Amino acid sequence: MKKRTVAAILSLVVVLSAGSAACAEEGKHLTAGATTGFFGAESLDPAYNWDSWIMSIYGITENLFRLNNNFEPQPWLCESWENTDDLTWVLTLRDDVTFSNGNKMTADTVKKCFERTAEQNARFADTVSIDSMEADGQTLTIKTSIPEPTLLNDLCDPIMAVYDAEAPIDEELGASCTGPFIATAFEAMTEVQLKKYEGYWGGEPKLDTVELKIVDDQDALNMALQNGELDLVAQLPAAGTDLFADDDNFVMDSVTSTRTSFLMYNLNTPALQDVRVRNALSCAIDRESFANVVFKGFADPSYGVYSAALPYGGTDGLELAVDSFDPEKSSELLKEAGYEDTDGNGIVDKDGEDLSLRFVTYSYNTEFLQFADMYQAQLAEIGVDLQVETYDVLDDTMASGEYDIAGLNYAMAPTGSEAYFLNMVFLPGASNNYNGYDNAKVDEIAEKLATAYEKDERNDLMKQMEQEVLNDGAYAFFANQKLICVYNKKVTGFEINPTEYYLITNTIDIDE
Amino acid sequence: MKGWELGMKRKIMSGMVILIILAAHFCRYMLPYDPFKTNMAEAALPPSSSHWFGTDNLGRDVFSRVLQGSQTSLYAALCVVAVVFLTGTLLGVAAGYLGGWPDAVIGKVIVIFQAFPGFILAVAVAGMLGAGMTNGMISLCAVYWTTYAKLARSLVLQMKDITYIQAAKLCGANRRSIIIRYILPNVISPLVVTAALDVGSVILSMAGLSFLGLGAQRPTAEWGVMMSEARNYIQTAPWIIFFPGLALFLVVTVFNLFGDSVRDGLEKKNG
Repeated sequence: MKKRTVAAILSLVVVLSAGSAACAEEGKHLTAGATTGFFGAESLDPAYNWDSWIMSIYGITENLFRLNNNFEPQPWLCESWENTDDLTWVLTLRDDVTFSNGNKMTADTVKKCFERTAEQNARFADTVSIDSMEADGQTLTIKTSIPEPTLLNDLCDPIMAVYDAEAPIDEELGASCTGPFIATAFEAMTEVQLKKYEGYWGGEPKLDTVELKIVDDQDALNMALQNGELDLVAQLPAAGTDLFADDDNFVMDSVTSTRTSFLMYNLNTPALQDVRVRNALSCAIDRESFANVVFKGFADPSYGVYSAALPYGGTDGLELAVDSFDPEKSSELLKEAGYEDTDGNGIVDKDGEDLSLRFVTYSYNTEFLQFADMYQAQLAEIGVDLQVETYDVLDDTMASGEYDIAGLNYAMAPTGSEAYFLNMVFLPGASNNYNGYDNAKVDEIAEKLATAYEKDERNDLMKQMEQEVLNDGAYAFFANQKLICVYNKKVTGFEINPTEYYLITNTIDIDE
Repeated sequence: MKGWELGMKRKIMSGMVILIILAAHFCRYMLPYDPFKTNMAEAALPPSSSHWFGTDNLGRDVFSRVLQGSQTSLYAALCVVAVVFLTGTLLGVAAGYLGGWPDAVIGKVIVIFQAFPGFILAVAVAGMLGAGMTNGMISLCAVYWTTYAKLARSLVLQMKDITYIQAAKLCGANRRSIIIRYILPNVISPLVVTAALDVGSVILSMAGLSFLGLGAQRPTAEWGVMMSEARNYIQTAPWIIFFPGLALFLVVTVFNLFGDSVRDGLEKKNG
């Protein structure tokens, strides 16, 4: 909360000073803004936390493969590939790619880069199980320890970003990468200055400089876009859509991503160990109102696990323990679980303990803040007390286990790989399994999925897994949202992308 | 200003202050809707006969929230003013009357506290203590007590060598009774005026802290919090931010005018 405030003040100052800074630039200049959740890297080291994800948005990093709008991997820094047996992949890399420091990208540099990332970031191992790599000129041979049918998708994950791991990683400006833009100034969670990389292999970028501003005050972002200080706002919260929808000076694009809002119940909290209590809490979520009012229709209510936009998503063929907003059912479930208001304080209790829960969520996510208010009021009706706390960086709190319910927002299949979210959240010991979820059947399905090559079989396994997860009720997935970007009509060549990666590209242009 | 005009003004202002305090205190009986109950089917409705101030982005009745907020804001402000009035006066009188090392210590502490711009100090203290209503109030106390301490100290210094105090001393009155019976009654008026004038400014500072996320926390119905939440709707549903702002403006104006009238009255009395 504290940091949020300071950030809000700073961001106002930053936005106000944006105009003057832009004037000083020569050539084609684009200024884009977004909140911490979309733009906020902690460093420019691709191996650190989630920073490679943000760097792929910045147009700094690139991968061996790139996802198209149907989540299908297409060769990018890789020219061709061959799957010689279940465990062996031979990748031929492009010969014309250089890092921003001028060094040539070879199979050996990619190998060293992957080795460094794997050593520093646990999500690398969640993504792929690499047994060994061999580099020979531009040929990289990857041997996996188990069959990896989705290896090409996995290679699209920003955690597999390619950078020059042999060159020293600059403390401020990070690693040298292959993307169309190079950072010239970086202030974590505040702003980033980029200039075009003239030696970019994919064709000289049309923009000369790009300035990215991280502003958590949504109204400041909206106004900065309206008065021309910003040219583009990425991941616009739904509250702002009314402002730009009918304005001819702006273009508003939206696309269904795999991003989902969900609750994670901490299974270490005694009260939440009872599935009836968890289902009672899930039943008290007014999903329709959240999607239609808070998201203004830029989200779909969800009762399943994955977005219906995915072949294995939606609720078809699944048995749902929670299938509507039903406070009465919530009350009944709580009663069944032994919770009743015996002391007349308005809060249900059991064994003398009030059902009071700690809800944590992101301080910068305006939809989630509204959800928190809404949910708190809804739970109060069924006699559950909800204490809301918000954080700029939620991962630390999650890892410490100091929460009962977490309101989270994840892209669930950004690489198109089914196993992505499963390996990251559902499996015991996974990097983001913060609630102690552990179901042997899910683990078994995950194992089968890892070696299943047939699409139908994979979808079938996913459905089985979803059913298990829904039965356990350890999560409540309640909305699949759209990514919304708004930009001034003088910006051309911008393409909204359901993966959420690759925002700044070499094709974006601006008419001055 | 003529005497009767002054009296009239004071009566009107006192009447309004009493009205505000009563409204804040008994607001729970006057609320047309539950200020916390969300109703998504009625989100962001403009003012109408059923919702006088409209509804907010979550369908809560803005009028009910503004009314509920008057309690939060007013109680917090009165509480802060009472605390700083008591502690500030006590420390100031102690410093002024005792002199010597207590005066030196208290004087230095006052100087240190006053070296910071008031609101910045409040933000820093609230930031260190962590967000919350109580911490917000503590941080405002840290800002406002110095005024009283400084004023009380200087008033006591002017007065302590006056002959009737000397006379009381010679008659064998002890320190406590001198302070309580001879000094306090003579320094209290300017302090009361300061307190009356401070209420409005404390309400405003508290709302400021809450607006920044350092005072009251959502979904508390507090004007600063409400305005902060409503920022994203300033262009599409301006009534959500307008009415808490208006309430804040009116209440602060009334308290400031009340403070003025109290000062005018006391000045007149003291000649």
